[in-house]
Amino acid sequence: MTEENKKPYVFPAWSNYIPIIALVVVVGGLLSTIFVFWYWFSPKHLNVGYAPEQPIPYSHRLHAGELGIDCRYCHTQVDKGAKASIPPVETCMNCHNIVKKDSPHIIKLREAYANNEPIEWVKVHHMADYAYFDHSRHVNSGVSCVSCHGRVDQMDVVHQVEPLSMAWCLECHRAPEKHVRPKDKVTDLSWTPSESQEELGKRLVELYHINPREDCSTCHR
Amino acid sequence: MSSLENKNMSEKHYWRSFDELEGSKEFEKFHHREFQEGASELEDGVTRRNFLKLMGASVAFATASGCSIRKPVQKIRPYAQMPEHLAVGKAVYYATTFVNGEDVVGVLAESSEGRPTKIEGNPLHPQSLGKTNHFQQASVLDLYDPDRVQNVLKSGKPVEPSQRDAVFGELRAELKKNGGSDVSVLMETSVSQTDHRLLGVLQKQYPALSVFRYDSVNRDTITQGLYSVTGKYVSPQYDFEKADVVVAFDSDFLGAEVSNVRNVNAFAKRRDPDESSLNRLYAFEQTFTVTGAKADHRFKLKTSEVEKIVWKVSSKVISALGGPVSDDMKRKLARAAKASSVVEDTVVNAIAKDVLSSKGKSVLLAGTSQSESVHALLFVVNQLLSNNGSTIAYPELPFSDSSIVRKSSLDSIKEFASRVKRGAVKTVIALGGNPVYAAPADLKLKDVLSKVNLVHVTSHLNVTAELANVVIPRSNFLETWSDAVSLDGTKSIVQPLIKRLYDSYSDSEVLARLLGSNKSDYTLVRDTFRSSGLTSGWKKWLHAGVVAAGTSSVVPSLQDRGFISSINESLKSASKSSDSLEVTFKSSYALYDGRFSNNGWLQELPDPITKLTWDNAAYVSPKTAKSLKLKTNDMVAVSVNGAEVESAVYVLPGHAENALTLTLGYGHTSFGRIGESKGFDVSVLRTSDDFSYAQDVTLVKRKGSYALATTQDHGSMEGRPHYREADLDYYNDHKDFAKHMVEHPPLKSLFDERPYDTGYQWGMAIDLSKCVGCNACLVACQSENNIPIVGKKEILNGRDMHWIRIDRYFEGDEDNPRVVDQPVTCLHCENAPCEQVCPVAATVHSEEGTNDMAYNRCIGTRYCSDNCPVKVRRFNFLDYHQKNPQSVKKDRFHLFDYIKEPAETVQMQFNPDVTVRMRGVMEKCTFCIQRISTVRKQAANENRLIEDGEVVAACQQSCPADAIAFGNILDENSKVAKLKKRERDYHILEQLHLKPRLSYLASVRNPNPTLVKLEKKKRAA
Repeated sequence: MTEENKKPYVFPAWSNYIPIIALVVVVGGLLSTIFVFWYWFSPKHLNVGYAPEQPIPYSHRLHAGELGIDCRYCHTQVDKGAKASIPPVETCMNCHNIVKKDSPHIIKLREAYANNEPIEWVKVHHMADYAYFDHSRHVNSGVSCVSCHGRVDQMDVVHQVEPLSMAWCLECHRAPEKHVRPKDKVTDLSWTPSESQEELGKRLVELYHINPREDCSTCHR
Repeated sequence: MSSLENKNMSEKHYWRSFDELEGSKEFEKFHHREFQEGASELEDGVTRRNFLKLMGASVAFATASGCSIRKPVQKIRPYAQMPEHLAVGKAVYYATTFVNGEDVVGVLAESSEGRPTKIEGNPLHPQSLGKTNHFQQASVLDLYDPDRVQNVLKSGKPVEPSQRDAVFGELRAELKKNGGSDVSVLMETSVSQTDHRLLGVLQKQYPALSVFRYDSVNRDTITQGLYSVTGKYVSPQYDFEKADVVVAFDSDFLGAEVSNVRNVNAFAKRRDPDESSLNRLYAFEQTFTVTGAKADHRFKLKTSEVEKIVWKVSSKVISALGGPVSDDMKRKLARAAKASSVVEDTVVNAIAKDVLSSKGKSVLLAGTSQSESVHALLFVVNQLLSNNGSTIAYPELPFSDSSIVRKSSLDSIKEFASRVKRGAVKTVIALGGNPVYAAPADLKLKDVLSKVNLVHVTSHLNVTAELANVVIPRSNFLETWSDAVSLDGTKSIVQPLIKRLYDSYSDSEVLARLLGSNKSDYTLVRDTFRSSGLTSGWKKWLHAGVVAAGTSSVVPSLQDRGFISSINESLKSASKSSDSLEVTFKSSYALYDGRFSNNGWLQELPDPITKLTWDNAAYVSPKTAKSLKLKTNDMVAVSVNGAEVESAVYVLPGHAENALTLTLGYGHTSFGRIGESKGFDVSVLRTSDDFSYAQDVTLVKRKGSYALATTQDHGSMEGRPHYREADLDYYNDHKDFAKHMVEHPPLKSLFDERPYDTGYQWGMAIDLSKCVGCNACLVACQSENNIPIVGKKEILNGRDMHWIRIDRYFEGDEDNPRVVDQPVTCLHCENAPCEQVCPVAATVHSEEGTNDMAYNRCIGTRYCSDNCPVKVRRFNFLDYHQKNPQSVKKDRFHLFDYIKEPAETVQMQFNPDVTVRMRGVMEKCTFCIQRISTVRKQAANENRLIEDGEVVAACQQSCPADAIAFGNILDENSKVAKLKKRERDYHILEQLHLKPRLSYLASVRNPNPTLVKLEKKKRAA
């Protein structure tokens, strides 16, 4: 055997850094994976801003904003039942029998009414199937439409404003005084309190017997 | 004889199966395991490894196919023109009527956005009084059965919609030949005025047309027996609320028989020892029934011997009170009574004395298996005891002016068979039913009907439909307009809740088409009402569900229309006592005559006594089994009259010796994906001479064994006093006996206990004294809470999903035990052991004291179920909704999703207020949290508090015995709080300091003191 061969195999000096590099890569990778899921996979990122195209470009800005039609004129069930209810074509026809009869979209509407066929609107605000939200309970407690849906009266195309995640729900359930307003102002989307919201809220919570539950069965069953 | 002593409860020994009684190894193994062996393994040869491989592949595929992370786009389709008063998401109830044979029960059907999803009782209908039984509860599933016939079929091929009229045209042409003599109509008993009206018109138009009626389960012996003694066609209606003493001779009036909802309701009102004087029930029967289980004294007898006891008791009553029978007859009766020794004279004397001392306040009744003379004799006895007119009313039998109704089913089918055999008929229209399967075997209807042009109106492709040339789909009652008259004369409307799912026809429409009319079922019903003078008030009747309550009862006078000779006849024939093996045919508790075979909920309904699911079996007593060397699951060949049937054996404690019981309604070779080839078809043994029971039976053991799936040993409670009961005497002296049955040290929780002293605190109380173990609650729960069926294999694995299980314990020796029933569901313990072990807080307590399950949080560790002392948690080992044989392939595919889903129509039944659970999720009773939630929101919206009785749990709603109370326990005036204050109230497993919200009221029985003394004496000797 030669001298050369007798020399034991040794790792080059840079290999001493491998554990550190590996640690940084693994920990960093892990952290960034968590970050990716926590941020980009959260409802806040995935759902907020969702603005699907609707079969008829109905403008809430025009109807609710400019013309000032109350939300409940169309969403009749919002203070009575779990679902706000998308209005039947019938409701549109109340006015569009006369108004803008010749617009191609209104013709589509009239045809649907005549054929007794529903218009397929695209759902904007998705709730998980296992979460049972009730509109009436919120509206009747002084939670405004704007708290969850944003300034719909300024939207030409309705988009999702809030994440509608469970954490977001609980924020309000834990501190309702930050959001409640007088019941008669629920559909007034531009309303702002004339006093501090905190003080008004506390008073209203007392007045309306608001006691938001945080049990699982409040929403899940 | 059953144990009659006032024993201290702790001396009583309760057991649930032979294995337990004998302490066998299998049983030990069975109940020490939380879930059964292999319960955690995947089925169908899919191992964990393979499963992971598949999962990996599907993830890869899904990613490759560019699946989006977003939820799929959903569409909203609002009405174009909204129906008035409709609120999307809010259930609406409509009154309609459920008809099963002659059982007519008014119901309220819940409609969720136009889909009927749940059936509840109609409080205004006297046959329901707001309550239901398991048939009504399960009936909604039948509507959505994807195996229903969906098209008119001619020679097995669907007929074009345009050609359908031609099919009826051909039938009309047949009818027109020879005045209709070429055609026969074979129908089930119809209780619809419209059907009878149209039949009348049809018969007038075609005088030679022959109409026959056949029901394989019927009550003709009662009708004919009463006719022989009164000369009138009447149906007895019992008022058990007024009866102090009830003697049931082979009668299951609380279980399988007609009007059982009303019977249980009235009977249970007299089982509450704190509010009423207890009644006393004696039962004589062969196999254990719901009635026998509830009886204070039960005597096991072969079906053929029951008649002799009737003579004995009757003889005593007649000799004490005199009567219309001749002296000669009296002597004969006395002689016949003496000859029989199945039940000792001392016992009979005691019963007779009891009956005689409660004149006008007793009921003696017999079941449909008993002969006409028995019913005639009992009418005489009830007349002598002044029970007729007091506890028993005899309204006229509906439609008894029709010759079809007057003639008995059996005579009618015999005449039908001989007529067809003669070749006098070319076309047979079988309107409903399944005659080929259900007719007496000696008539050989299969051969007979294969020679004619058979038209079958049916909901399922059964064996009769297989023979038929033309098959016409039959509508479900939830999609049909009709009307119905119940046995007490109450008239009600059958109202549809949904547009027909398929191109089906109602019975009335078929009859109208034969007359050449194209009128809809609605018009036909309106015509009927108009023709009978009911013109105003349609909307009111429709809303109430009841048109008119039955007319007041008539007490027919005694008239000999042959009853003396018939009794003479049977006395003669019975003098020869038979020691041979005997077989009795019984309708299935779950499937009736087999018509509910394709209903998964009913197939999986544990029998109230045997807890068998998915199968029937030959029931034999332990002694008979021993002498024939049989045990449960053995296969036997039963032969009688030259016919033979193979069946599995089930050894049933308390069954009469030297006899076996076979259940009808199983073993269909053709029916649907759920009902086919389940159990054994025993109708082959049933002939027109031996219709109810047959003697001289031979039983031969066959090789091999069968796996009967029973839920019997599931979740055994290891002999602790969960069921507590006392005899009335003992109870009167020790009112709080149930509270002192477990000794335990002072109890203290390891955790800080929440006070639960504000707001609503939900609680439930179940009165075991009232509960008859009828199973209505179990199906109601299944229907309300989207509980899947799991199939026989999974039941064998111990994976049944019912949120309520009805524990059945035997007490006493195995030859003659008593049976007690206890419904057990989640106790909603304040100190819930399940909550303490859940690693993800998927099960937690609410402020209102309910034990909540957050399904989407559950990761399926099953720790909670391990730690549950009452074993009421149910785990979705598989996605059972998707595993259902009726499920279909999905048309879309998403990541982590299944390939299959329940059939579209089956999905329509789902309650939209309850999550449909997936595989890997634990579930259990929620106290119907969705119902609480709905009422709570409603009350809060109206700015008021919830009143007592507003929240009604599904089980409570259905309970015909009114044994379940539910409500706010903090409200002192609530029914449940009052019940919980009763001294009978107790908690199961109180030594564990669970503080359950579900408490039980101990059962109190009322045995005859004389018989108790006799029994004591016997024991001492």
